Amino acid sequence: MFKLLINQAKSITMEMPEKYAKIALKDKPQRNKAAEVTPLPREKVLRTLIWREFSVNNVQISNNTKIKDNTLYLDAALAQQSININPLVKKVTIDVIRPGAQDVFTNTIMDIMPIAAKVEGKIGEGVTHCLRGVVVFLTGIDEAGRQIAEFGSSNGIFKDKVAFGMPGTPGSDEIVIRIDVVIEKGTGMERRGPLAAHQVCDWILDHVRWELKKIPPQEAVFTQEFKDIRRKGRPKVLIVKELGGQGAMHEKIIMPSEPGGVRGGKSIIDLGNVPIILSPNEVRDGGIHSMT
Amino acid sequence: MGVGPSTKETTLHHMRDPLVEIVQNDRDVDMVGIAVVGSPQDNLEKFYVAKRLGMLAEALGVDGVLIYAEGFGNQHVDFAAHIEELGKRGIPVVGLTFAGNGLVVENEYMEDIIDLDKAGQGMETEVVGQNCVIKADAVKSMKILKQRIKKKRG
Repeated sequence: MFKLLINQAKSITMEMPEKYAKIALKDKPQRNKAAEVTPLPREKVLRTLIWREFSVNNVQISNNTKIKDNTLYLDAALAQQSININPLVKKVTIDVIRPGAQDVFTNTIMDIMPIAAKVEGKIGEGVTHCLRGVVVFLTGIDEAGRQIAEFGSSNGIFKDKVAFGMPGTPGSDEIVIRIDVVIEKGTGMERRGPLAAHQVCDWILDHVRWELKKIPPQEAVFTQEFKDIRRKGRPKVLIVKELGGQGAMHEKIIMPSEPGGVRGGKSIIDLGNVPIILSPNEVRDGGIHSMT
Repeated sequence: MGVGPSTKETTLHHMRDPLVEIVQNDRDVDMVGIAVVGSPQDNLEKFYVAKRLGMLAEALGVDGVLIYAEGFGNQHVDFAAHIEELGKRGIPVVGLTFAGNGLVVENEYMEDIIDLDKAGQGMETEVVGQNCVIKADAVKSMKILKQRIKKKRG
């Protein structure tokens, strides 16, 4: 025990054997506060994707395809022309389901996709334009009247058959462009039937994409930069998405040419179902087209 | 069984995937990427694919894996096989799937499985997009995975 009390001193010198000093220091280990705070990770940006959204508040079936004054005009002739894309497709109908008028009958919903187009670069980097307020529903049936669905069909009244506001579905206030496809009898349970339906849908959307690419960037209502970031020193986490790869509707198209498209992509079945790495931006930019 | 309307992931879902968004913006982890793996028809092929995934994760040297399986029924055979291959290599795994009335196969590594049944009916509801992963599921799975990684590192 060592106690020292000083009142009004000008200078004090204290001396003690080295071993006591060592003990004194040992009792009070100097805590380094800087080391306790977790340092920010060293972030490395690999790729950047610029995402621009353009507002659409009306969709009209017209005699040519264009985007003007927040209105999307769709050429009615595209439905007839698109039949030539694949001989398995017998009939295509395009119509618009507006919010508030969703009490309509629908064939089974094969896919929901946004309308997005690459302006610069490939999927996962560069610039992408996307339409906000409108989504595309692909629905289908075969010539014999059988729904194109494998395990449970979503045919019925539109508003009862969609869980609005989920990540994979639009909000109930969004305009829906419905592309209804009739395919050859009995091909709904094969790979080629649903694939044909998706190809036709993609071909129609390509016409909208060409118009979308022309819109000047200053008209965008929303712009965001997405970055592929690696954080060195942090625990490495991998996300695994197990997708259907059995054929018919259980199929995905990986890395198409246009966001969420079909053309230019490879089927996961043709790739042997083996794991393939995509970057977060590639997934966000529509690198996976769902055929289910 | 396979992928029904309520468990299927639409193209829109993939583009707005909450799992990717949450993990990517989490500054506590280093996301290496997204492995996309198909679910083949044949059982032998399912195990072939699962082994490839195990080797891939091993080669990447990952500390944790979040695995999401679309659909249910025979898709869970792959799901269980993937988790087993990762578990054998000592990699903590958190799985997200529509379990419904229980999984068709299970193994000792399947400790943390989050059920995505939103309707609470335990069956295919035939409403598009109903039983898919949402942000809350993603946050929950990330929290569990972080605990598992911390526990493993000691």
